[in-house]
Amino acid sequence: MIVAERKPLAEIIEMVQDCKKILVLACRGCVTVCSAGGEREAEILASLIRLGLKKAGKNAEVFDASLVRQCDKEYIDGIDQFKGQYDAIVSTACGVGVNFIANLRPNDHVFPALNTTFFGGSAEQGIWSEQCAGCGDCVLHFTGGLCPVVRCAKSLMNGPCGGSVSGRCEIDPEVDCIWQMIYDRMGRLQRQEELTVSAPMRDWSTSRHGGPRKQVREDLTV
Amino acid sequence: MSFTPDIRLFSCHYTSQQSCADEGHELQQLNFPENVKMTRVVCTGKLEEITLLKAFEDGADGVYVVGCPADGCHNVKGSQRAAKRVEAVRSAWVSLAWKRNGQKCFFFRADCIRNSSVLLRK
Ligand code: SF4
Ligand code: SF4
Repeated sequence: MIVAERKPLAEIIEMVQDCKKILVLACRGCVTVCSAGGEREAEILASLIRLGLKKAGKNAEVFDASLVRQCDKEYIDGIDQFKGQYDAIVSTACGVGVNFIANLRPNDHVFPALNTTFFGGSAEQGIWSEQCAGCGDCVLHFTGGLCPVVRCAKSLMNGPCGGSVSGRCEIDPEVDCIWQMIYDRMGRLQRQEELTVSAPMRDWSTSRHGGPRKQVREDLTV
Repeated sequence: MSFTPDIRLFSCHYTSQQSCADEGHELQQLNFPENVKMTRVVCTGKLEEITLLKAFEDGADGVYVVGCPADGCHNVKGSQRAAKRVEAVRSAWVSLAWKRNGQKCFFFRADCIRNSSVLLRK
């Protein structure tokens, strides 16, 4: 899922300080699961914005609502139901959601409540870690399912750098060296031999280096 | 100018038994301040951040949560959860540099009504 966290409150209050009617719009997708921008967090944020603006001597109506997701046109169109009730939207979705509102609602002011951090997962309550960078050319079949693109600080494709010490990355002794993990795992699975084959040069144009990406599925378009 | 803060207390069922006992006479004996409005909750771990914030929106000058000792909660981790939510609201407060009526808003964590009654009078 997409993982995010709330921006510092003062930053959000500053964004909306001149707004009179504010809709804090939650997303019931990824950001609900990572407890950053679901209905509960939007209700809390709306309350904090009310208190923050009051403290600044400003009068504003602040209310919260939610959409199933903010990354599909059909749900964004649902914002029509709040017509006339807001002059600005504070979206608690990820950056995709905020972009979608901006794309599809040319006359609406929209502000981001979250910092979108990464694609990740949670192995322990309250802790998320990055697992994939969406590089567009997945190599997990070569690496036993562990991603060297995002989990290696240098995105190395052919084993660890010289800084790997006792299974830890040289950037931080708390960070696992993913190449050590790949090596150990491939060994456990009796696939270590596969690691002797050099990975070919990567074509990074499928990643962010080739400009904004788009995917068209002819079988699904109407 | 004298100022009497409007203080809301959220107390767990187990902690508040003591304060509700004997029709609240024990509280009176402890000289418990009258400007403290108590809400009894099943467990402080059930308290949501929004409940504390709504109390402030409703005009409270201070909000105050009292539950079992952190390492002796009847519901195991309720008090620890409550402490985290109080901390979340407190840190939001710090970031807003919020003051009301010239008084700093305050949060207490205390093990029992007896302790908190002493704290409040201070
Ligand atoms: S808008 Fe973002 S957070 Fe919400 S469902 Fe879509 S991708 Fe997930
Ligand atoms: S190789 Fe690319 S697509 Fe596969 S997990 Fe890593 S970043 Fe994601």
